[in-house]
Amino acid sequence: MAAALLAGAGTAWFTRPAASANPADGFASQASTTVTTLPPDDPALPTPPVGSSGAPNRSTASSSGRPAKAGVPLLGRSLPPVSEPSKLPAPTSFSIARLGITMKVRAEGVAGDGQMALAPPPADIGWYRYGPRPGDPAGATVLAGHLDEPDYGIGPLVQLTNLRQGDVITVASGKKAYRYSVKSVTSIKKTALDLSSLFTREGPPQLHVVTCGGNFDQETRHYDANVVVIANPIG
Amino acid sequence: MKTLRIAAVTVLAFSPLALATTANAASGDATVSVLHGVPGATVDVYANGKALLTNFKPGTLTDPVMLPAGDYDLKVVAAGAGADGKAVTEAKGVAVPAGANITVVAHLTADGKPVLTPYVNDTSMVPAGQARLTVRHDAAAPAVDVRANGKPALKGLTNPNEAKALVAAGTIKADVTLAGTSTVVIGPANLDLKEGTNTIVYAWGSAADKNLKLAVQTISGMNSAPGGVNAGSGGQAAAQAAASDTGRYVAIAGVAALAGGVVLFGRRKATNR
Repeated sequence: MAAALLAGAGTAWFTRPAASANPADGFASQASTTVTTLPPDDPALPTPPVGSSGAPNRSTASSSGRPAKAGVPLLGRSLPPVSEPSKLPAPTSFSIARLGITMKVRAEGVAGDGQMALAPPPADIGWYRYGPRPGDPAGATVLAGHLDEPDYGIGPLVQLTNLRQGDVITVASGKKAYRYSVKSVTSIKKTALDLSSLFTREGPPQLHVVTCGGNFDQETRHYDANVVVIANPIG
Repeated sequence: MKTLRIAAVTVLAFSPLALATTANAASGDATVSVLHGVPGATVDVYANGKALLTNFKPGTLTDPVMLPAGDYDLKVVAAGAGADGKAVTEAKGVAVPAGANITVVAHLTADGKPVLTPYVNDTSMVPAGQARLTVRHDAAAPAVDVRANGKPALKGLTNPNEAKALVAAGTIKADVTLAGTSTVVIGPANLDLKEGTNTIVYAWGSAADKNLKLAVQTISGMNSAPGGVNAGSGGQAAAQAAASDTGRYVAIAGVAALAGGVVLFGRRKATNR
């Protein structure tokens, strides 16, 4: 089963050219996904520097100043419509019926060390609140929870490695239950994890469920791998 | 043009990932927005003699458009005055570099004369959980401080300069004071600094005419991923897995010992005979 799951994971990222049997390789960092040449960091100069190159960002007029839009200028080519931040409700509950798992979902941001923030209880799962929500048209909804914690013991996510392709994960958001079908379960060394793919806000909508795995270093009190479940929306 | 295209295709062929990240910024184009920050004057804007904007009202910001890179002669005239009309203000040879994200602002100088200022918007990646706040002084007013939640965040800003900072994403209450004082000249206003954006705040208008205002532009798409997911520091699961492995070995050893015992027993039996 492990081999099948690993092979599945190889095709999981949209940038991967081919399936890979090497779990570390399946999510290996692709430095170029985040590298873009950008305008120089040049404060206070009202003259545009030469030779800068672009990023895929979009611009909107908004907020408290509320300048009314003048509409589209007569010259030039319009940009695609701006995708507004999601107005869908935040997820509240996570469950996997076949494994008897039900967890409360907490909205989480970024910890002081730059990693995703996670509340200690392994019984709860965190949702990366800056990323997509269940039901959003693009990108990965990321849920992550502790495998284990001192004072708390082992959490339900220890069972993630027992997931099989096609198992159903249900995430409740507001009054709706979003169902996902497991596509792959992979253990990836943290040093090789492609974080921009894991937290992507582009591409088809997916659910990414993350916990720890691999070997535990007693000195640093860290696991050396992440277990990543990729699931596709059903329906 | 043809060579340009070939060059673009070659680049894309060798970096398919670059294609994904620059899909909205075609090679050779720049993203340009225009903000009208001159109080009281409805205008038309011409670029290289062609109408770029008509009936453009103070306080409005255009949607961004992609314009071919190059130098532009920009001219602002009273609405309906035509390309040859008297310039309210103009700027010749404004450089619009390929790939840049630019906002051209028609505004007043510190002493109240209309002027055009092109700003390059910082579209470099923003760390996870943060937003970039840019403030531009485009008002006929002296040096100012910008306060976030009552505390000075950006100090001593003068027309037509900008100041910027990376701040935690979220809503702040911002106001503008005369530099070094607590005399509020604009605001307070709630600013929603969305994660991964550059939120650009323009102070425009005239202090003397008491019509200072804020305009806000938000550029999104500079979000980056958190540095990792550290999801387990107990070690109990690892210990349990190790224990169950040990259990399995003990069981195997037990079976082996049992088998050996049977053999021994058999031998003993044999010797007893």
